[in-house]
Amino acid sequence: MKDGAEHSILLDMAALYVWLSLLCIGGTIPLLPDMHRFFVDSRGLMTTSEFAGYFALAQAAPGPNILYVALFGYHVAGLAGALTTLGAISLGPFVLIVITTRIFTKLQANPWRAIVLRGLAPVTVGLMFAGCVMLTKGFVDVRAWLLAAVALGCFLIFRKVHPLWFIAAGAVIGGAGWL
Amino acid sequence: MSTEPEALRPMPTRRELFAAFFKIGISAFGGAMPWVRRVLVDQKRWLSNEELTDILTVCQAVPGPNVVNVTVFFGTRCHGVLGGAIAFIGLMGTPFVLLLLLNALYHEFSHLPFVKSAMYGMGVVATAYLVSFAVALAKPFRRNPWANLLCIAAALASALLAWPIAVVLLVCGAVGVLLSKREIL
Repeated sequence: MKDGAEHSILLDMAALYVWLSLLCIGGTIPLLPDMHRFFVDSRGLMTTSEFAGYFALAQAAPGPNILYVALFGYHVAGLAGALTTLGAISLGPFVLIVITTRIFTKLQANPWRAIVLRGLAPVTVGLMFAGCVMLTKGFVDVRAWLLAAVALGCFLIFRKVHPLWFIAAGAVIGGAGWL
Repeated sequence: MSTEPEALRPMPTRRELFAAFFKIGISAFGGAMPWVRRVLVDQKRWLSNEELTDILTVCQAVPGPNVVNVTVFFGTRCHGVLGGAIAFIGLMGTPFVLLLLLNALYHEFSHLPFVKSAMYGMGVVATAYLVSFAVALAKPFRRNPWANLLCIAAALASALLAWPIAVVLLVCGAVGVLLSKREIL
């Protein structure tokens, strides 16, 4: 943990997440492509399957969804890594929100707020789809695509059913060796 | 903000603030925002529905994960920066520890083939979940051809051309804001 390489990867992860947190409009899902590029494509710190697996694990656990970034950090550098990624993605927004509480009424009345949000909405959704495309790189064969298609149908049709049931079903199907 | 309706309860103490966000954190499976509304509005009655919606719309315009923003916002409104930190730690602390334990458990057994393949199956379904989530978010602009074009362009720029997110947001976002300003979006 003490050597220079370890420190520099912590710094790199901190820089990545401080930067990404400032680009985060709404959720962190649109940021997945850049995270994937960092951890999988350019650094080779994990495989796409591990990347997707951590994401799924965090979905299956209680708590805010963004905790998956802690698992990425943990994979790379243990507890220090987990605290680094989660801290880095939260720090900037924390400061900005403290400032926001002071100028709340002004922001509320500003007509540009709605205009900007409306203009950015299609872009963030597009980035979310791009994130999904990244994750499908971990699909080994056509059976994974088939399962994903069926699951997507289930998510879209049975909106009242808690998504965890389907994710659990995916675990059973995978664990049973059908994938 | 406007004057508080009488039905609302007084602002929480620090302890109550921590307890409320602790509850939101450990109850939240697959998304914490519905629980924020449930606890702060329905159960504790610290905010009216409209107030929370106002807070949400402003928080969405500030960079950062929504749930972090709303949590810090509410905490700061109650007890300043310390309140923001209390609410944040209340929300994240326990789920963070639980997730690391779950992760340790997973790695303990990850050499077993069926654990590996179960995670693979979960990952595939979680990917589909993300797609369905994106589809749901696209609903408000689904009938607008320009918005759909912009959405596809952003997806292609990121996935195919490997543009960094900052560039996609800058280029496609500028087009989006321009279209939105002219009321095309």
